[in-house]
Amino acid sequence: MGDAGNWCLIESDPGVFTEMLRGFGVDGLQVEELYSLDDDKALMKPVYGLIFLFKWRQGDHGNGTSSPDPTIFFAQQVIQNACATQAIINLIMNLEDKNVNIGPLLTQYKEFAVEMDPATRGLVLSNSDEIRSVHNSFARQTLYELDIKGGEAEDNYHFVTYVPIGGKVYELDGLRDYPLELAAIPEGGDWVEVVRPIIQERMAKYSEGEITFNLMAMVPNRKQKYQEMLESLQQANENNELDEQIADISRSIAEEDHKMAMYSKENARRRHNYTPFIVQLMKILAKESKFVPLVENSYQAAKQKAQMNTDKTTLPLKK
Amino acid sequence: MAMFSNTRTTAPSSGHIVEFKAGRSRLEPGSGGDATKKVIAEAAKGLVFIKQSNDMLVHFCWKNRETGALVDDLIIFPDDAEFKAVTGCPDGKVFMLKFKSSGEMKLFWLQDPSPDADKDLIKKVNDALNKPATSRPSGAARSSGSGAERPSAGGTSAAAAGAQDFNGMGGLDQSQLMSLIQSLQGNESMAALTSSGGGGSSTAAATAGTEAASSEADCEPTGESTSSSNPLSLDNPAIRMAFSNLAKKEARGLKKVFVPLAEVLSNEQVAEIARQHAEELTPLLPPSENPEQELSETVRTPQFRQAADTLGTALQTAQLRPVLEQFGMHPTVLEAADEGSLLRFAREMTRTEGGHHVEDSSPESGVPKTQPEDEDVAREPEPKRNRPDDMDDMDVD
Repeated sequence: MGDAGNWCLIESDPGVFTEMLRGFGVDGLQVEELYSLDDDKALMKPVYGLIFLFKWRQGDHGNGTSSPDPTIFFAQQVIQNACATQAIINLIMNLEDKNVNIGPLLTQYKEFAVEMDPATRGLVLSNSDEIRSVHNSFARQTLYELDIKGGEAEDNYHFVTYVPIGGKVYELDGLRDYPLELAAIPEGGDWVEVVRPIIQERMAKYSEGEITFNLMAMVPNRKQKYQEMLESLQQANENNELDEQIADISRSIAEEDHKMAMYSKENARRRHNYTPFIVQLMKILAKESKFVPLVENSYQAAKQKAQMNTDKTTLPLKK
Repeated sequence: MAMFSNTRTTAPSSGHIVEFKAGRSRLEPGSGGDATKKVIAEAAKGLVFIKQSNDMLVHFCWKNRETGALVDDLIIFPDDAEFKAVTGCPDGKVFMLKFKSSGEMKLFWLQDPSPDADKDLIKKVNDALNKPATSRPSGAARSSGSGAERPSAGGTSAAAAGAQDFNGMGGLDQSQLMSLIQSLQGNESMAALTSSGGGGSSTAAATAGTEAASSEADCEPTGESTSSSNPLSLDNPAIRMAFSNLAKKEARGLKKVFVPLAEVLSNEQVAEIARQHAEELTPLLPPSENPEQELSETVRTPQFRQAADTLGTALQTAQLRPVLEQFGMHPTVLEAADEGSLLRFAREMTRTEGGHHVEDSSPESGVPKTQPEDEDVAREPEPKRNRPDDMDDMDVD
């Protein structure tokens, strides 16, 4: 991994990934966090792939057949902090949809790496300055490195992606040698239905082992979809009988706009180094003689609450 | 590749013995009078985990998954606490960590909807708390001794409680401790020690603990005032050990707790002051289409809170000096930072920034003054409770 430059740890958040897609120049996609595999709103069709994040541990593997099919684009994971980015790129490389434009940067990578074996593809990816700089632009800013024991850095999160390719569902896990063929998709069937029980089984297993995980979906750019729907509704709305649907869609578009505005705000905050602000704020509070009382309040409040809790807990719980 | 092939050899990569997603709950008076309590779930997403630190102590921790802040970090000694299910909560799975000595309890609600999430959880947690990886002598001593039942022979309940405190941590059971004391002292002084350990409850224990644990000069007088020939002086290694174990025990409840800086700064009062100083502060925020609103929201954003907590942790672990130096802080402020005390830091900063002297500001805040020796000794702070209490915010992942 020494040659791969410095890939920063980034937060796993749909807002980060959605903006990262923009950063790569991908058009027509976004990432939604799923709270359930039945979440039809988040799972806007077509679902291009599912990204499963979990805390990696030894001896952990899914069930399926290793498939060295060269038509599947699969890059092995060479460096750790880039695993989300690598998982997303693996997914995008296998995506063929006229509504999605993966942009010049990823097209160039795909053309360059398509003839290579999975390990070399991973190496090329991790050596791409352009991809790395987009990834790193989401890193949290700090002035200092802290020695905090038990911190996040000790946790190894790992991403795998589930993708439908040529009538089959595959699991792409950058720690494996090859893609894993999981199941066939019935003619005209929805691949999400096929993969649902597989993911649910995995979730059940992880819940049992108290492993943290979460699930995200790569779906079409919803605003674009809504706008297409809006246009066709408006054309068909001759006698105003579709006014209600049009209002609904317009609301959904406004929601998406709001969400994207929030994402961009949050990402601006993620990238921001708050240390100078906090130092200045503490100076102002000190100058106004508010800092000491505030700190004392916090100690005091903590104590009072602890006291309250102790008093309460002397009473028996209701059975 | 190297990084991953390394981690493949170590089992749970987080180093956590057990972990599960859970939020905190609190007790509030119920409708059925004083004896009933309602368990109220707090909405914040969290993670409970148990880990063993390098010194082999077992920590029971709760982390807020939204802010990433480590809110609870409790050191648990074997047989100190019990983890069990709370029955009678129809709308969720609620568990409690109950301390046997104090009766204090911490409540958590499971944020993992899968039906198997709580399978074996109680056993796993109790095993993690009570059977840590290294064999701790206390476990063996107790099981072969008179059992875990607390002695009634100790006389007053205070004495029994004191013995229990000793019993809980040092690897000595009560009879062993008694015989140790007898061998050191003779019977006539035994009562004195027992009552000071027992009757003193947390204050006496904490003071003793501080003395044993701290190397500061002002903690020496106890040792000096007692003749060094006195077997009960702190010079006696056995007593030292008992006290130092006691200090560890007390560390659970009365340790030096980090006051999260976000708790100090993330409130309306600070937001208001920030608004009044928009000119100085806005340039230090991320670019925004609406700088006024951004400034107004800042102190409540998770990103600010996280940064504040990191900075606060750095300060309270005496690691902040290099950062503060970059901001040209006054040397006395840097010295205060080196001590790792947020309060001293705040006082020093107030002095150098020309604010009123600390004593002037306290009355107006209406907060009783904190005792100097008490300032770093606070109970674990509770998280903010301004969130709506509902069970709907479950993770379904």
